[in-house]
Amino acid sequence: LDIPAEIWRRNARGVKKLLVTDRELTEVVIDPNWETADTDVENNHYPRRIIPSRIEVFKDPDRDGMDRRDIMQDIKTELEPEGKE
Amino acid sequence: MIDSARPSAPVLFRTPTPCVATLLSTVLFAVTLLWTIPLAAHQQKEAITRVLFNTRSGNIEVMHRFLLHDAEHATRKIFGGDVDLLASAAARDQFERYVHERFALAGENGAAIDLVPIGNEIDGRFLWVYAEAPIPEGLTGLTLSHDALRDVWPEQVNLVNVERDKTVRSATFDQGRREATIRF
Repeated sequence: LDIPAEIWRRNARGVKKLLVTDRELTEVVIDPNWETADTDVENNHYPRRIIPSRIEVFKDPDRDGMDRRDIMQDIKTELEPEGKE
Repeated sequence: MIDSARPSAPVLFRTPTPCVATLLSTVLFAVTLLWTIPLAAHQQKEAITRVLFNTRSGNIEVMHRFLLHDAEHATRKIFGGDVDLLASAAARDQFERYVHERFALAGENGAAIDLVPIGNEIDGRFLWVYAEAPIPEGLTGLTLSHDALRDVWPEQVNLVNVERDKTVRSATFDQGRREATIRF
């Protein structure tokens, strides 16, 4: 749901948005892609989600995936010759 | 043939002919362009450090962020050689040790807080250096010093943001400033 920035026009401290639905609300995430200049992202989730610090992420042994890929180093990858299996 | 009815202006105040004006403006544009090009390759000479009191882990987490370009130039100046921080983990470790030696935390009473180096990583165009230490009991203030890269460039500016209980207090190390004290 994209809400225009004008929602802040009358009150810069807090805003409300009424959602009318017959489905149960299970989760709310504000600014999931961190597109706003939000100084505190730890209160953007309901239910509350712990946002790890950079050091906590760095020390996480399960950290993997495309986030760690260094595409600048990928160009140095030596390609296997054609025909080699 | 001189037309005496029409006064002639002194050469100094005559407007240039169109082709001369075009030539002058082209030369001026080229000089301006050449003047700005070297500036794009200069180091920014700025670093930001975040000191976070992490209540989950019980640690003071120190996260230094340097521009990779700055760090590489500085490493070459300090240690010599053709350093490639992007390719060499050993060079990044060397830079990490250099930063660790030039950043210090102490309690308000002067008791040093021994930071343990955690590691370093490259994230985009930044080089991050990490360290942490357990949060001392009864800490009411911090004394900081941050001299990284200031021995390489006197104009280096190091900004330190200390975050505790959702409150951020900052200290800027530039010019001759050696220490800063932050009270909670």
